[in-house]
Amino acid sequence: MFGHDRAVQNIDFSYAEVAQRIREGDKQAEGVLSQRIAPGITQILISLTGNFAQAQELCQETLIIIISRLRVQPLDEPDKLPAFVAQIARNLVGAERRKEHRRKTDVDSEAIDQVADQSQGQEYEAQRESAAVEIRKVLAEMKSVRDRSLLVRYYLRDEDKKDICRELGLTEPSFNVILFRARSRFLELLQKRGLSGEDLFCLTFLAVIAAQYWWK
Amino acid sequence: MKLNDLPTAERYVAGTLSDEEVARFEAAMVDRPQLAADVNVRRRIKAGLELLEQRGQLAPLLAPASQRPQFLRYAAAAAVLVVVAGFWGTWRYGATSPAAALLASSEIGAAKVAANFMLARTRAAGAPEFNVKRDAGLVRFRILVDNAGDAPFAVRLTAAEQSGTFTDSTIPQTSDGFAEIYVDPRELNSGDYVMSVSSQSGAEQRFPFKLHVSP
Repeated sequence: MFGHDRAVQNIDFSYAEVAQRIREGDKQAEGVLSQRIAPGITQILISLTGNFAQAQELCQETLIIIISRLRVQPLDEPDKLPAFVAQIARNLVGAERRKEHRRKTDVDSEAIDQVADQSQGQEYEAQRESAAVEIRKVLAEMKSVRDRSLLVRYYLRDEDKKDICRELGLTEPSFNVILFRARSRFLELLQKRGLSGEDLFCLTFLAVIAAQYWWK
Repeated sequence: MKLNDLPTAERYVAGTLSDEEVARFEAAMVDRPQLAADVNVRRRIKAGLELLEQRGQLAPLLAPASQRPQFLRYAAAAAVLVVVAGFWGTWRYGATSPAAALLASSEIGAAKVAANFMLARTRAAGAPEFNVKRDAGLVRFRILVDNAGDAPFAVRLTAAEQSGTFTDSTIPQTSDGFAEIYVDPRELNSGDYVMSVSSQSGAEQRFPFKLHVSP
């Protein structure tokens, strides 16, 4: 449901250059591009399907389509590659929905779908359970009820940061610090639980964000 | 789109972006794995909070938890005080009753003095008898001591019927040869009492008397 557990690196390169290398048959360039764009594709697909397992499958399909295309065709507008990738991912979801709709007219296929859905549901529930356990710990560790309230209003109720700051009497930097600590702790607990890869990356990402706040 | 365009990430997860904004954000997310990681964390936290809320585990965490223990702490402290006060009262008023009956002049403040009695050693066989009203006010005892210059005196009032019970006070100085002490009748029952006065040198004078306390 949430995201894959693969290590993600922020590899800086130009799309024009990597596309050229892929067209020249550089397999390493294919790997570099996949590593760069897979997390975003996965999140798009999760948004559209609400199903991590299906999102993973469709992410692989998206990557295959993109790399196959780059092997044979140069990029006209390299800067627009991310938008193009996102559009392919969305199109694949549309195609998958149409396919599922057709499958549901077939009784035998429906039975297979139910089994698959059950398995995906279990994985989803396990991930939710894990998230619930860790966020509960984070909340319990927060001494201030105000800070707990902040976390819930921001992440669960999707309330606006400025409204929360005003109502709780917080400055925006204070808000960011509380949020940053809570997120860091959450990821730390998830990591202790055995998750790695993307979570480790998230920690690095949060450290970068923290550095930005401190320098301001 | 900048890396720290987090309000957009908030709205993306909340599903409040327009179609055009979604397209721009998703393109940025493909380009920047950091943004995808941020969305991933937000989704996890949100899912965890949703599950806690479904199970009714969220509300207790948001309740002013500090108030409840604070209240309990105050209640516990009050309970301890009551118990301590109870023990103190038992010790002070039970073991040494009539505890607050005997008061030095410095302790009476503006309290009303309803009667004056004198205690002196005489050759008469019987102990003097005094009639007091329980709620009329304090009773002043003027005690004729043998050695007025030996002040301060330690005074002890003993109730004969309650063997071992007594109360102490101190008379810092005498006036015209009399040591003055005050008795609060509200703390006393009718009966035989002995007022004993001890000087610093250890000489003790005892003054038995009978007290009749009427309502």
